[in-house]
Amino acid sequence: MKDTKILMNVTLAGIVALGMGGIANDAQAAKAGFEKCAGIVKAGMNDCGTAKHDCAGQAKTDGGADEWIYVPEGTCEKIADATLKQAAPKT
Amino acid sequence: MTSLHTIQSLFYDAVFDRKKDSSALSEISEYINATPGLNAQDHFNIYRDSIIATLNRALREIYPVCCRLVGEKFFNGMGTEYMRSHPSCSADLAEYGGDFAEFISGFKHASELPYLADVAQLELAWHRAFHAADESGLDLAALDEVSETDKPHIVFYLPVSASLIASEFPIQHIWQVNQSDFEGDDRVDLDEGGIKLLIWRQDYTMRIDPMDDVEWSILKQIETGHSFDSLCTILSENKPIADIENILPVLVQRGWIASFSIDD
Repeated sequence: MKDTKILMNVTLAGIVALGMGGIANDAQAAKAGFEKCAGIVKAGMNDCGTAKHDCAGQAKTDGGADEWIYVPEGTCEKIADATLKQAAPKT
Repeated sequence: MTSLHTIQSLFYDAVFDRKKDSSALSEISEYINATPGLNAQDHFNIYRDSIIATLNRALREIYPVCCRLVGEKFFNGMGTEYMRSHPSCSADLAEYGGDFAEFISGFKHASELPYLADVAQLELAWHRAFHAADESGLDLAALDEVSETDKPHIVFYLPVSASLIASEFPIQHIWQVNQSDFEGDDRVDLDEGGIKLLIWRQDYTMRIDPMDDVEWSILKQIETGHSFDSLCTILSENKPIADIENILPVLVQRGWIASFSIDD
């Protein structure tokens, strides 16, 4: 049982140490490498992109041309119907 | 007077031809008004074709690689067969098709493609990860503040977006060469070996991470929801995966362990 206690503490110390060097959690950093991409609500395959669109003809609700999300740089042009809203900041 | 429930059941049976003898269709036709130029069955057919096309499209969007592997015609046939036995149980269309892989593995016309069900599993995991809630990663500061008495009761969790998938076929390779933007040699040797994968989403990046057997067994144990002390005990008794103190921090760093709680 004592061994387990030591093992837990050593392991936790190893994990917590990750935060010291700023290795983990760097995902929240600036959005370098990301671009704003518009009109891809459809790519998310929501109900309006399929059910409503097909059956009720509510094409207007599809795509939301002004809606944008961050996507990794270079991704936007690969997505059907997406428009590059703002290129990734130069680093 | 026929109850609404009876009519709805009849309609449902007719749409998906669940009795396979079109008897429901002729019964339901009695409840549908004909209009000039379209008889009751014509009206019904419009609805049926629309719902089947919609559900098939939903399946194609979740399982594009499977569709590409068998061709759209075969895929739609398989999808239509699936609909017969698997009604949509959620108002969210993105939830349809959750047990498609299981269906495929028992679908006799696909038995010559033994890897197809595993590819479907990968695609479903991808789809779910894409739609999963956002997460910010393991809170190291909070973990550092856990008291001595609580430490044994820590429970670690994989990312909410994560799925662990093992296959005896090279499904990641199959998936890669069937992406629409893939360039290069698209041949896959089915005998190149199986693979163990964690499919998840890190911020806006979709990830398919392969792993070795040791990492796999640790993640499987974590997925089971063991408390920290029993996790340590299990893994240290299991000799090949003894050095949890070295491996666990690496898994955290990769983002494979995304949160924790104190189990009471």
